[in-house]
Amino acid sequence: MSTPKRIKRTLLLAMLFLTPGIHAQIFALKKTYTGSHYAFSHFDPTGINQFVVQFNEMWSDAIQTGFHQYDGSELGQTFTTSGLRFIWGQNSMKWTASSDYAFGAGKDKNEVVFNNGMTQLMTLKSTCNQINNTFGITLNEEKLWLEALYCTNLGKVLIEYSTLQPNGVESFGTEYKLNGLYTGTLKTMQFGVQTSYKYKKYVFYARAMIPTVVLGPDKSARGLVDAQSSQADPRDFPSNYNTYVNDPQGHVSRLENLQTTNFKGYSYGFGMFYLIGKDK
Amino acid sequence: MIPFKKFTAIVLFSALLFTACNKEKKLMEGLIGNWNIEESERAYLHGDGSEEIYETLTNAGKLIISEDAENPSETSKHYKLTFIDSAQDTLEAEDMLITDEKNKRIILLHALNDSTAQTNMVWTIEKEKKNQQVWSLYGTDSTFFYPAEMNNPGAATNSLVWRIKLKRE
Repeated sequence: MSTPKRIKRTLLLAMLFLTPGIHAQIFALKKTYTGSHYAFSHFDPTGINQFVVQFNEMWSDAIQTGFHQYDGSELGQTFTTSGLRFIWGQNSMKWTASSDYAFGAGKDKNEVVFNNGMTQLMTLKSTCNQINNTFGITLNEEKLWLEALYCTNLGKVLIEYSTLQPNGVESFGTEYKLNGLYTGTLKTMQFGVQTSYKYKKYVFYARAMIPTVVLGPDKSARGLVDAQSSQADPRDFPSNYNTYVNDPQGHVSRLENLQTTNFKGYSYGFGMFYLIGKDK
Repeated sequence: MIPFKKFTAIVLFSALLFTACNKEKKLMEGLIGNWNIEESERAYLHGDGSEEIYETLTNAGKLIISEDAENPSETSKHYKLTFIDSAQDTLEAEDMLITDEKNKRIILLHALNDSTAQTNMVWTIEKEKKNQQVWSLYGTDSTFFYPAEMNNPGAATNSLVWRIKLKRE
């Protein structure tokens, strides 16, 4: 389909769903909503744990307390969401669908303390921008909704690596090579299920989903890079710390840098949203 | 007519988004101007946090930050740095100044020149006011910039701190 036709179709669909009054007869419920949920997530910690283990081993003589290893559950996220919810159909069978945007963020702090009093901080952060579409059935007089969920997720992983100087100032300067702000993105398609219970204007819901397809970026661009780094290459955050230090040439092309694909995984969450407008 | 609650939610969300997006821009706009390096202080920084100052200079130069006329940007500005050290040697550099979206560091691109390369100067903002700024940068043992032992923080006997106090002219 050509782009103008696609735009026309999108506008027509938007009018169909958003024009008030016209579809009062069709929809048993048509509301905007806003709410939030907490999502427990699981990522593959192998890549970052390789860095942690090798870093701790390499400087073991000088380290008082090393970085802790990750178990993959550290990046639970708090989401805020807003969207549209519809219910329609005959009394015998009613359907429901929704479309929402959700933003989630989570973080984990890690630190290494050296015998000379130096401390380095590694803060792992992840954010998600999600477009979620659900479709399913209503039960129990439209109070219980069972749905399949399709999500396009634009995920961002950040590592803030800094040196906490003895005077308490957190420095991202050039005194240590790893100091930096590393960012990587990953776009995934996710599928899942969602169940919701409506009580008056409040809806309590639980959802679980799993990434099925990586939409981008290319394999070679999935590292976490400090784009403003003042250091010589590699500017990617390492997974293989030994080669990062001892054989930096080709570190990235050998994919020994940390990959954003390490941070995708299943998630499940619980939350509540509020249906805006008069109750029907 | 948009219901009041919906309107309030939209306004609050927009305000939050607007605030988050403009932090970097706000800092960069606030830096534009002529700054006098009122004081430059260099010190050894010991493990217990105490500082042993070994050099203090007053009126040590200027930092001029301006919009890049050819390529105006919200995330980078043009700078011209003149710093006169204790031996009366002058460091002069001119290029772009950039920061990240959380203002964790101020980077003066190509501020340092040696026989092989031009490298950046990376500062941390300690204090930020309309007419006064305090910036610091760190080194190890006897080297402020890109020390040889830059992989191993455990190797340093001392840290070094260079702090400059900037006052708007």
